[in-house]
Amino acid sequence: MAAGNRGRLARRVAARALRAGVVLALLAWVLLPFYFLLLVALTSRADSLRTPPRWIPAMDFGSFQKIFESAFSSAPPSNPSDLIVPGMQNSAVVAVCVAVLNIVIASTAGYAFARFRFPGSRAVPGLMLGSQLVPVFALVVPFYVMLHSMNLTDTRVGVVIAHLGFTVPFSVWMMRAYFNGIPVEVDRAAMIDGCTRWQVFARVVLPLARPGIISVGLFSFMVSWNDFLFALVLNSRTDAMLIQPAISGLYNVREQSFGIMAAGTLLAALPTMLLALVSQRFLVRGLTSGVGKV
Amino acid sequence: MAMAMPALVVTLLLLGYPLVYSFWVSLHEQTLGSRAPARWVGFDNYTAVLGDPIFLPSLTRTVLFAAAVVLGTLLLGTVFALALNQDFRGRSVVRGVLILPWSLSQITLALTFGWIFNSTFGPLNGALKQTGVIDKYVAWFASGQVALTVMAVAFVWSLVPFATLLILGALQTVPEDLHKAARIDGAGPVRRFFFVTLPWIRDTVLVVSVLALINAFLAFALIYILTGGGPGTETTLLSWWGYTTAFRDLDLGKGAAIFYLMTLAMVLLAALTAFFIRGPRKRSKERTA
Repeated sequence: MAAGNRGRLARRVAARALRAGVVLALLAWVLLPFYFLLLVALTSRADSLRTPPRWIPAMDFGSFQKIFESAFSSAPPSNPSDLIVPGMQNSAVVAVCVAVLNIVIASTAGYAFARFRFPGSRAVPGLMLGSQLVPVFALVVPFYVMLHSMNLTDTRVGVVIAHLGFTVPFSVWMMRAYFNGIPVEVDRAAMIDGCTRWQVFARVVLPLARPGIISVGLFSFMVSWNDFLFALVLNSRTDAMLIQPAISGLYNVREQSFGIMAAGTLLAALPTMLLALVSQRFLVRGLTSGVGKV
Repeated sequence: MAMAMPALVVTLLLLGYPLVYSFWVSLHEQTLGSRAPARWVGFDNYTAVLGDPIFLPSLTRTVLFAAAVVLGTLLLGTVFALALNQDFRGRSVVRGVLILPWSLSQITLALTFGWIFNSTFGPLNGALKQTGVIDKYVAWFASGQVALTVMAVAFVWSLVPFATLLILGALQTVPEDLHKAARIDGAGPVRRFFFVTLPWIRDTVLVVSVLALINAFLAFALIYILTGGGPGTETTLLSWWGYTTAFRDLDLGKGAAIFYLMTLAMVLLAALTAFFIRGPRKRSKERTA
């Protein structure tokens, strides 16, 4: 019996050690790449070209300084790092527009699909979820031709239109799943109290669906901010350039300005990283909404 | 009904119409930027794609790449989720940072891994040399196979945390009674995992697989930054081939045909994955019925 106890204890210790090892590996897996970026972003150019590399940041903010200085000088952009700050501004405008339009369009449609019966009210949401399987690549050529013929290439409006095409369907699906979770009795009670349909939606149900709205806004903002393909194909002129194409120009192995590259990467990633950190429970719940019901 | 109109209009106009339109383009000969009207060529673009010596190798590469990404994501995601499913101090912090890699764009992902795997100054070669694992710096992007592996690792890195969160969510719904019953029947932890846990979280495994599959098929920005499809065409996946055909060789029709065939391949693979993961459950249900 004693031997059995000792065996069990040993097993428990081994299990704890194993778990600690896995958790540490997980943390290293997630954080090390970010550390390497930060390391070189905070290192002077000369130091970044040393072998073996430094392992502790030198706290040299030269790369960040260079990126921001060029943004506030009146000289026309002459190298890729000059496009980062304007690119972030353009992308912020585009992504906010995409997010707001998604919220407006998807919350109304999601409510309709969740509450009313009309031809297609059951089939359409399924199709909208299925549309996530369509690779965005199949849409690039037509969007280029369409927007080109309307003179909307190299404008922010054009990209907003393109991004709506592949964000709205999934947003509608998410909002519908959210409204489905709110009991119909809520609507009925409000109607008995004299609300019109529209008032029920705007004053009663919509506030209850706030987590869903946040999920939709976050999701569409992130998709729009992170899109590279459409941003690259639709907007190539420097004054309309978005952030992802702007930082893609930083990868130039021959120029060896790795500090600027890393600093630009971190800046471009900062908005979505912060949003994801602050609101991860909305994101995870939103993106898995209805997964069990597929 | 009226409330659904804006969404329906957007979906039809900005998703349905472009899809049909790109199919129409794929049936025509059309040069990007030229004013000449598109010329009807039937399925010539498709036969041209299928007969192209680049097609079969890049299809094979795409499928292998996707398979590696899906399997790597599932494996690591499950291991990490099992570890996080237990109570320990600091668990919520670990879960908090998990979302970070997933929030990166493909471009920032490419730049990050391009730096880590930089053959002359990158931290990976530096660390491996300092610890004595290698005596000479490795040129990670000089061979197509190694470069594809590096890109698969980058993808798995960005997908694993999200997969972990999804699988963890599913693990938390596994009833404790099932495990107790299996333990009484004498099943060890490994058998309990395969016969109790895994069947229970099957749907989530499917979702994770399909998500990883879609992402792997869209691996375009990584190639754009890191290899340009080379050396030669050794890292040319379908997505990259379609992009260069349409927007570098300016052959819109053939590019659209490639994208359509790619969509087809992806839908088939997703269906296959669904069958592979879901199929056995139906059979086991019949057995118990």
